[in-house]
Amino acid sequence: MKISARNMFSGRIVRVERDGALARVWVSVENVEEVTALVTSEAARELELKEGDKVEVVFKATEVIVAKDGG
Amino acid sequence: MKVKPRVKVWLEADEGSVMGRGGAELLKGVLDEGSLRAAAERLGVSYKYAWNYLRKIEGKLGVKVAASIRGGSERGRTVLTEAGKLLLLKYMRFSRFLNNALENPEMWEACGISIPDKNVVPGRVRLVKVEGPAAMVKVEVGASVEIVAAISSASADELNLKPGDDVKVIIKATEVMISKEEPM
Repeated sequence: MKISARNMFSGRIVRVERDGALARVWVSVENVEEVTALVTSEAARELELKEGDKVEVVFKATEVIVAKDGG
Repeated sequence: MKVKPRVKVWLEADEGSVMGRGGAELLKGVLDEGSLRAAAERLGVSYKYAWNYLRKIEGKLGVKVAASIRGGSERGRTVLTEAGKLLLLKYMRFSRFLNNALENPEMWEACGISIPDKNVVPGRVRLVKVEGPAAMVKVEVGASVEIVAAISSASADELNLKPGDDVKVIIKATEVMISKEEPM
């Protein structure tokens, strides 16, 4: 499957925390700090997300905010 | 450093500032107490100061906001005119709207100022490519990891983004998808 998202990084799930309809997933990406993803609990269940899973974090370039100190 | 934003609301006419919070509290006092003297006491100002304040508001607006009732059993009372009530209502509406906005995280989010559940990753700009209204920015956030951001050219301009700049990339946690290979 090809995907248009410009940002795609391989990592490993370090923690999954379900809280009602949402699940918080922490993914450790090599050379970067952990990335947090907030997905629906349904998605987490369907993908059977759990600690240790090899996954990819994906996000579109248009969803990235760039901030610079001191303008 | 921990700071908190605050707003001050005042109403303006063509002739300049009509009233701020003090004026609104005075009008509210008159509305509640039915007496300018009691309203002034409530605010801890002199009767003369309060009286002058009302006259100043009326001077700017060209209408009366409070009226004194003389004679009868109602002697010595001061009440708000319809214009005075409307002015107070307007002030309270504006001020409530702005204060709600301050307390509302979604409003801050809309301005890109505060985002709950976000990923903040420090990095260094490697490339800025402005093409029409959009700009493509590549930020190196770790050895061999590069994040691509598509932002408006106006934002890139405003931030004066150029290669070598130290920046932070912010990604809302709700915008991050997880992809997992199906087991073979």
